[in-house]
Amino acid sequence: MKSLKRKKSRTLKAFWLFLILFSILVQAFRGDISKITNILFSAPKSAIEIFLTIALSIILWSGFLKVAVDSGLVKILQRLLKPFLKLLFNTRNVKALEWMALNVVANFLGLGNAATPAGIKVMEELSKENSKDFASSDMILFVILNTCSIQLIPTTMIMLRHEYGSKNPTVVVFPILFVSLVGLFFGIIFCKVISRVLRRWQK
Amino acid sequence: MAKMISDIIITSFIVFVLIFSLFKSTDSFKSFVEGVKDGIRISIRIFPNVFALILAVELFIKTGTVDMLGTFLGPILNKLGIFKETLGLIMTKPFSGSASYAVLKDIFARFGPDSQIGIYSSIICASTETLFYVITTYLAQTKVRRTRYLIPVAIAVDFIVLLVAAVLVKGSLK
Repeated sequence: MKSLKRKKSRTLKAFWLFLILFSILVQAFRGDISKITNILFSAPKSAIEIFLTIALSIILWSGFLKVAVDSGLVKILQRLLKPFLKLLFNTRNVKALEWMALNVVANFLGLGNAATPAGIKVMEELSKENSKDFASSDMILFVILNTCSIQLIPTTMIMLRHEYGSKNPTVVVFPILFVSLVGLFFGIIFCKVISRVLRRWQK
Repeated sequence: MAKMISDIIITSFIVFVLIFSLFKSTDSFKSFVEGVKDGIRISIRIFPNVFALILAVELFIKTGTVDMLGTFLGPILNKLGIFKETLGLIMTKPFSGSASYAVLKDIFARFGPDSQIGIYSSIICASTETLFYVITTYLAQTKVRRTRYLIPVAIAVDFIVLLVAAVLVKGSLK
């Protein structure tokens, strides 16, 4: 039984291992092993570069978000989003709900850099009420909510389309919103159904 | 135009937050510094996970393993109605934002942003997330070791997005 549990726990780790080992194997099969070491030695540098960009924007936005939290602005946001959040999440942790409201609003406005620190704070708060070593259904649903990337105006995409000479860069705006909403809808349904089935199954 | 909208949103968000704090006469400087401290702590804690992920992704993309897997999956996706030319994008998007944008630019350059493939790529690229990156950073902050049904659901949702977008594009652009 224990070994079965352990196997289940390793999706992410298994995935990571698979990516590395499979890539090395494929490259070795092609014969040019030196490429692997080249990538290995250059990867930390690009990892640091990527991390620095992420970290600095997290730090900047954490500052502004904390101002919004301390001034009580998020309380208003949270009250506005309460019906929606209450419908989806079981948690009654006010702090988690406040950061959630910030995360949702930031995502919607296209401030992805601001949404990340708020989302991480949510996970921290949710983790406080979850003593187990597996993700609670609230945590899972919240991450799914964030992977759906609901955004009012996909600015980066419009810019890029414009740059490549599109005659109508904004034509994709509505389809993008529609498709992500469909994704979100199914994400919520899947999460709710699976968590309910699992709970019943455990009883 | 779009750049202007995003600039306006960001600037007005910050101005709004600061002015609200001024009205409520809270110490915005102190709050900001507190937030920065929190941000530094968060960043340091996610670093090991992000580092590990990037290492794997670099190997996966730069050795060309992505493309190899793509040629296997191509015919299957084609049958489902998903354009096989967008496979590189579909495969890189869950792992890396910057890599997927490079692939998208390549698609735009080859097929044009207003072609069926160009429109499809725009839609799926903007309505899916770099989900392994999100999962890694968000879970780094918790004690969670078992993610249960999180990854299967995330992948299923991505897949639905790919299919719905394909139906939408093929139905409206002939």
